[in-house]
Amino acid sequence: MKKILWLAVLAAALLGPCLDLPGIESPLAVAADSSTAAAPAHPPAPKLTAADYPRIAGVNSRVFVWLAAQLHLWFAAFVLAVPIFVFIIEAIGMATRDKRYDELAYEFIKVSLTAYSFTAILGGLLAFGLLIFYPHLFQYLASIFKESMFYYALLFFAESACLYIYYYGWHWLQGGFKKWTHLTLGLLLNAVGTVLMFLANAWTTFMMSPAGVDAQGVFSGDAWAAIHNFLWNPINLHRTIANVAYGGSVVGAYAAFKFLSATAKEQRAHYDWMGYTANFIAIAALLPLPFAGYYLTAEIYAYSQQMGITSMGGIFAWLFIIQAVLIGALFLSANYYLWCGMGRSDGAARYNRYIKYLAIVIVGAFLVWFTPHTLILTNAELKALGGPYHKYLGPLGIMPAKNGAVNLMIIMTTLSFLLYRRANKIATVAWANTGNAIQVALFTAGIANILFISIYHGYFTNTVYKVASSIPQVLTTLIIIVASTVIDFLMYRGAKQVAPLHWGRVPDRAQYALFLLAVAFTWLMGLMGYIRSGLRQHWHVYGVFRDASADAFTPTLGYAANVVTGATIVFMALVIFVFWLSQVSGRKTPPSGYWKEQPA
Amino acid sequence: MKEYLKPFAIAFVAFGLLFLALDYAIMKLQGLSLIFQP
Repeated sequence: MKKILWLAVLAAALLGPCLDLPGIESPLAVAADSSTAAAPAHPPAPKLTAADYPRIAGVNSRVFVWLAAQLHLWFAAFVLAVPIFVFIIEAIGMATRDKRYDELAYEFIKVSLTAYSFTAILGGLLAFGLLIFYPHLFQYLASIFKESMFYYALLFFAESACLYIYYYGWHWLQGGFKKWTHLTLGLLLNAVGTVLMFLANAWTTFMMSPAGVDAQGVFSGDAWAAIHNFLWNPINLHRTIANVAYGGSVVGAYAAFKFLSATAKEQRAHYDWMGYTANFIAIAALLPLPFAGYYLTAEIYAYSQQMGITSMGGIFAWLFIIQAVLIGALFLSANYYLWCGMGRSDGAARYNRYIKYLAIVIVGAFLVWFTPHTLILTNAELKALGGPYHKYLGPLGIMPAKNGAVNLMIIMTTLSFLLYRRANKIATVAWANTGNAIQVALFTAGIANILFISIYHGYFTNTVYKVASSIPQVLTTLIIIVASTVIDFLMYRGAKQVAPLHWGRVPDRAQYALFLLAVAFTWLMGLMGYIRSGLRQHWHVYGVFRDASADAFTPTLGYAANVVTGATIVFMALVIFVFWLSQVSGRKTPPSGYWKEQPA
Repeated sequence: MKEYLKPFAIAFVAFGLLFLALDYAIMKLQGLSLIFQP
């Protein structure tokens, strides 16, 4: 499917310039005309002054565009992610013929429908913000990406058509061929959504790692080169995975909200199951996310060492400590939710004693994960410490220690999942003991390998070895996740159930873990988004098109954190509004005596 | 306990070798060795 998508994007980018549409100027035509007129086909990036940026009294243009872009991105991430797992859940329902999956998928897509309107409204707000406050930048970008922007707008029709038929036709397209048609619509919806995101990613990443332009910003006319810039694929990968994790967390918060407000036992059971499924999706996507993040960061370093150092070793370094705290909070809350959820099973008592060890390792790894390398100290404190590095904390503040810590957190989360999964089951295969021993050996050998790499390559070699050895660490973790899941699947195939699972038998505090998950994800995305954008420093398009506005400086981290926090609060308020809307849409008030009686 | 010990020991050695082979191969692919050579 991905190949088809790539081909579609490629075709759009390549064929776009060849299409002779009225009102749309082909770059090839421009090049031909200009050769005769001896003028450049495309002008260089404009050199602006502060006077070239329109202002509106009382409005900070940067903050306005920042808020609009961030809110648009949160909603877009949500509405792009939900159809991905709705499609998967619907397919599971079709394969198992279990109607509960179909109903669950429908409820998920229902939540995303109102959010879709918000996405479009905020996208419009962002476009107007750019046109009003940054007209020269918008014009420059539109001159390079005119084809992709044009098709992007057209694709919205396809996206809306797919979404509305998919949602409103859910109960109509049921059974046999109709159900397959419905599933195909879901696939189309995801395909269009993914292409939309990839196109928007191209514009964003072009501003970070411009391609298809020379040092003066003169566009070569190669639209595909501009789209397929250096950071496009790393961002595509990272955003796709992150969106799924984020969508899962927001839907999990919805389920928690419904669970806490439900009064009937059946409703609590239903929303408990929904919350568990959403959390499962969020965590399944969260596990590979740090690796996608490392890949993106490595590519940023590869593109521009200065940009890389600015991000993790320069002004933004302390935001990465906040990022570490939030990622740790994500892992802790996800694990905590799973441990609470083991209460649904009568067989979980067999595994409860292991939870404290998992908690100790995760908390220990979390502490290492967010230990800073250097501290902000006064002279007196520096003197008392004997230097900028604390003798114990200094070694834990460097990346090799953090690589080991995050891999351990991921492995322990996998283990929590395995314990949860088997809590209500008794394996019936003859090789169950051998299978358990193999799994324990897999985890032990894998953890030993990660510690070996972290300690030996991290502290007894040079930087080249330290960076290079992070790849086998990642692969070790991935092997553990895949191999242990496969062994577990085979071992518990045809297993006996201890007793029926008691959906709804979960403490209320577990639901607050789901809220924490959604809020931490939102805040994290906002802060990291600020870093990604802030890496351009005083450039609109890095190294090519200089920002000459009054706001062409990097704001302090405190200021940026306040803006992102404000945006998070606004987003959460809008999300609560969306949840409330979905609740009131199901309510009916009998209007006794209001309507006149109709004759029979 | 015995029924766990033997498969554990065999699997531990097997996985240990697998992971070391993986470390070696990945480092080699990057033009480096498993053991640091300054």
